[in-house]
Amino acid sequence: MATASPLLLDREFLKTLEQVTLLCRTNLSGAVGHEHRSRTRGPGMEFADYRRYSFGDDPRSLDWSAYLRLGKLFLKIYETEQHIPVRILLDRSESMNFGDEGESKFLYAQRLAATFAYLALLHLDTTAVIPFADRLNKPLVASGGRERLWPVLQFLSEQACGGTTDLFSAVKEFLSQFSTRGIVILISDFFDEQGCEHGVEMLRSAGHDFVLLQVHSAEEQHPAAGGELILEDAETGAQRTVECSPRNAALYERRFQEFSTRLRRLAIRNGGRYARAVTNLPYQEFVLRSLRGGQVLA
Amino acid sequence: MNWLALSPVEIAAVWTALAASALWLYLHHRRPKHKKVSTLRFWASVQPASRPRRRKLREPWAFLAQIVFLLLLVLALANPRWGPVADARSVAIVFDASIWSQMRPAGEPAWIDRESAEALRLLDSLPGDDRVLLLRGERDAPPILPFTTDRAAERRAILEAQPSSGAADLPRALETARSALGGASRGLLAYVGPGLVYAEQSRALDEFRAELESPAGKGGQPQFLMRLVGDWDKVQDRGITRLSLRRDAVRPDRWHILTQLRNYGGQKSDAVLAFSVNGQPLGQRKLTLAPNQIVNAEDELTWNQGGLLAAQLTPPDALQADDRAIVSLPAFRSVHVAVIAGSPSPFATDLLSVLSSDPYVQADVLPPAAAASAAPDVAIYQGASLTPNADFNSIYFLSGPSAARARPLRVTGWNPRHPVTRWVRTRDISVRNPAALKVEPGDAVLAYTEGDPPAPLILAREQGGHRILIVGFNPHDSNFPLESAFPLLMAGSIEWMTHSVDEVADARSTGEIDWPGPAVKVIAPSGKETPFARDDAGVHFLAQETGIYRVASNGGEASVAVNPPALPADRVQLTPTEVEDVKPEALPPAAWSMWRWLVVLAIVALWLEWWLYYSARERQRAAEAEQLPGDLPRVELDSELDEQEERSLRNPNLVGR
Repeated sequence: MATASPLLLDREFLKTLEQVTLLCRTNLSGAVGHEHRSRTRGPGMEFADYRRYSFGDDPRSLDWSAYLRLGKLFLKIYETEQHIPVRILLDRSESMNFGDEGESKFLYAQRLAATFAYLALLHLDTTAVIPFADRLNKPLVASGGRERLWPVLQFLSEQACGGTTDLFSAVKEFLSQFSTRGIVILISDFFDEQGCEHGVEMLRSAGHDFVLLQVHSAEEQHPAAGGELILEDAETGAQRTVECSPRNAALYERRFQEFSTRLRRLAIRNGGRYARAVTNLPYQEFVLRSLRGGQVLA
Repeated sequence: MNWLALSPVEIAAVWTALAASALWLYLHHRRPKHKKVSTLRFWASVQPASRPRRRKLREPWAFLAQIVFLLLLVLALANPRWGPVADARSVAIVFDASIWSQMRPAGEPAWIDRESAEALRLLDSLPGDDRVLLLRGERDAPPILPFTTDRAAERRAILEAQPSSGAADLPRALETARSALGGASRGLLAYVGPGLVYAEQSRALDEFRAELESPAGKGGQPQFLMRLVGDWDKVQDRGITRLSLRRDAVRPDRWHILTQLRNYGGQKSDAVLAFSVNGQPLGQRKLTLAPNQIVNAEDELTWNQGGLLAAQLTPPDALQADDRAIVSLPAFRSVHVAVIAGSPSPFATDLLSVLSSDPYVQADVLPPAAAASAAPDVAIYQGASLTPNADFNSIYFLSGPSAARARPLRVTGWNPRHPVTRWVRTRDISVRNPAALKVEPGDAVLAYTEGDPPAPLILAREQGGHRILIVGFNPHDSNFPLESAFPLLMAGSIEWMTHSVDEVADARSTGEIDWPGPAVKVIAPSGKETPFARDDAGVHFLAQETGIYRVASNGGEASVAVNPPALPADRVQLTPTEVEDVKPEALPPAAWSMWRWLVVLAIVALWLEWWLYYSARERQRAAEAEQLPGDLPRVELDSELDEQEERSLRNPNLVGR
């Protein structure tokens, strides 16, 4: 059982995150007046387009300069800035308690969760950190700016691994508690014996903009050939004797790669996004390069 | 180097055991390691490990190399040799550290030092593999060092060898050395010393040389070398060869001293012979000794006490060991003999007249009542029966029933081995009315009378710690008192009972000493304890020092004076072969020790085993890699997904701040 220090993120990294924005789909509807851009046109600070004036429009939005040049009334259209909640689903099942060189998958996931929570608080959004395993644990909801990061870190550091993964039940419970659409960051190894498809499809059906962050260790991807082994599943306790020959290790890698590929395809086909984190890669590098260069951060 | 002298059977047994262990290790499957993983889902398609019912050697060639390695290793440990095995040469060196080695000529080093230097030179000329035995030249002396190749120990033993005061016995020492070399096919026998022998030893030495040179024994005989030290022609030594004493027959306190001296040198020698007792000078005389002359000097000494008489020659010469001799003077004490008689009788009168002729005896007549308080050394009784328990050493004259016409019986036999009758030989004695003596166990019959069987006439008995002589006739019924043998019988009886008189005191010479008596410890003059052997007659020990040996027993301590012997003075004449150098060893081709090459081959076999083992493993891995399923579908799938991902990246619906 890994217990992380409250100082999950270093100050230099937090300073770097001030220049990073969490991307989200624009068709989400949230409370107006916040920093997230949306497809909704309306009062706001960001100019979006022009359109011809029609009766009933607010004359304060007329572009008088265009009228003087063209003799026609045009109306300036602005994008409405919305409040979009960011929910972070953190897998704390027993299978997360593995990793490389002292950095377990769970600690890595905790750092990522803290990063996303900080980004949400940085843009004055509401964030909720929701640990789960076979069911949902008590969440932490935080809002009000970056100063509220400390309770989030404290909450994350109090979490410990245990239990089996049941993504479907957890998502189902999540949807019953958080009905408002928003951004859902699902951080897990996705080692769910029942499969992840139903859970992801339920997120899609509920209209959430979700991101699947698969966290795994390097050894889980490339097991070392070590002769005959008795393997025990950390969650179920099931055992299996295998010959970890090079051939079998390669077969294992193939299966793991197929699993990751299916997971990415599942995310994309359901309108979500996907990223894969290996624990031997520093989390800062993963956030600032992999996530920023992808579809998650900008 | 020969770590383990294994026989072929032992080699096979050890190798079989090791090969069995190696086989078990090759067949042994390690217990699978237990490992916890996050999920088993990716292992589901992997075929589970199955244990074959019959174990199979996975790398047979590597195993073969392994057992070859073990065989070579065991053979190397056994250290087999190729070819005939050659023993190193055996060398026996007789190092003569006898009394002559104490010679220290003026201005020259002592002969013992020259002997040591010569022995070391001889030792240095020997190959390192030769086994050397160091013997002393004296008779029955223990070896200085047994056979060894440790040159440092041999040099140390030579340098630490101390000269003794005994005479060398070269033929015997050389024979002993040759016997020690007897088992060796090649050998070297060397003598280092002054080379001085007695005349009879010279003959024995010639015989020894002849045996060495004889054609029959030539093949197996060792090379014989002699290294003589000292310039015999310049030797100037005269010494005491014998010192003995004899008590005067009339005056017990007077001793006649016989001193024998010899001049060993080739020049005339003047010397002063001085005597002292217990350190008290008694007198001296001047002597002149011609070259090679033996002189007997006779002196007289009056001394009624015990002590040590020392004879000293001055001035000292090159060999001081024979300038002095000592001898123990026995103490003299007169014997009190009491004739027990109630009133003056012819028997007592006649007996007193006989006893008074012995100067060592103080005789008187005592009534029976006064005998106990007087406590005589010997009591003489006359009567018909013995006293049941004798309080003193006693002589009984018993007589049988008297008969007027009794026929005289002739005494037909005397016991010459008993000290009482040792000197009695007469056959002209007859007795009348002898007593019928009963011989008891332990009695010694000293005389018989005629008859069939002969009847015992005189008995010697030991009873209650006292000695008893039983004479079975009355002296007045015999012509024995008229014979000269009667005083001898009485004197012998008194001496047997009291041991009061030592007529001769003779000094002993170094060498083997036979001491008649019990002993628990023998202490040499230097204070060292001397080993000794017991036999029926007493103890036997080897005296190599001059001076007083103390023989300790439960009853007290006795002193044995030991002086130098008459020294051997015939110089050995060397033959040309005896002065040659040490012959170089004609060594047969030595057996080739194979262990080094076996170790090299074992290392090669070990390397080969590792190479075969790991190359087989690598080949197996490569074969498994070739059998991996292809990844073409995965590439196509990834391409499709990448395109979709690229399209979604261009989704304008994604916005950021």
